[in-house]
Amino acid sequence: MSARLLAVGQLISGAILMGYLVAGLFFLRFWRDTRDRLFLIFAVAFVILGAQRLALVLTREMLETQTGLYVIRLFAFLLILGAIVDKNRSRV
Amino acid sequence: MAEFVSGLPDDVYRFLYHNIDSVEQLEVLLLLRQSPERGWTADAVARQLYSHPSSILHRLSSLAGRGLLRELEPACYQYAPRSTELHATVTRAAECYRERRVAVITLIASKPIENVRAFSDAFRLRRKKEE
Amino acid sequence: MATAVYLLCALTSLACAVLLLRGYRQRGVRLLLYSGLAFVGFTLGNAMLVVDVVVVPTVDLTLFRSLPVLFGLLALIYGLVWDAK
Repeated sequence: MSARLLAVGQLISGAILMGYLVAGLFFLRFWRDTRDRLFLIFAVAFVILGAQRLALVLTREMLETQTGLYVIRLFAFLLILGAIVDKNRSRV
Repeated sequence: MAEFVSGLPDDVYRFLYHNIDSVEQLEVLLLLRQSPERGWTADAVARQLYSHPSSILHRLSSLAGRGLLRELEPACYQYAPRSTELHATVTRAAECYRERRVAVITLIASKPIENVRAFSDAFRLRRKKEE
Repeated sequence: MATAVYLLCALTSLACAVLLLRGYRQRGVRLLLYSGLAFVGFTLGNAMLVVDVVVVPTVDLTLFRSLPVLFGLLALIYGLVWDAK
């Protein structure tokens, strides 16, 4: 794997990290504006996904099965599932 | 259901919801409706409404894009709804704006949150009864 | 074990995408379109993780599977900035 390709990979990872954080911030604001719990949960989930991306870069291991970091990803998606379940249980 | 919530008739509610993004835009439309025989430039409208020509121009072109105005010459617009029904709805909206101003303004002002609420509502598995 | 996790993540993303795009079809709110497309991207990213690990372990798909996620996030942020006012 050439150095250039590695650099591009890092760039994309950085962009993705920033993307997750910005989206998380928007969801946080929506929660503030609507007090809808779903947005708070999505905000937390997206920040966690961003943190996982960061952790991957820091450990310099892009295949997360090796590191067990996929557990973090699982947690984020369980939160999202929880938000959906919660939405359907409360006011439907 | 929408009438109960907003205090406005259904067709006016839907018209405002889908076509009007700001109170200024509504004022522009109603102003042009009052003299449908003439064309208006952004400057002329801005002077009437004490607003800024550049934002008025933006409103005018947006209304034209929705089939409510016609562009006679570049940057000169005339009230010309694309159907008689639409004209009738605009007339009713004008009445509502006169008689129930607060309800109209509340609807227009709360629109942005509607998109955000739509995101959240999308996750309801059972479809909510909406318009 | 990891494969099961990624499959779960892919399915969750897919469910979100389906719900959001269905909402777009019903209500016409652009934000739902863009966020729906974003979750399609996330689904692809997660699905490609499974492929990367299970099907072609000798080939590194890292860049390929990051791209749908990146484009998904771009679409999501575009929608959040322009359509949520």
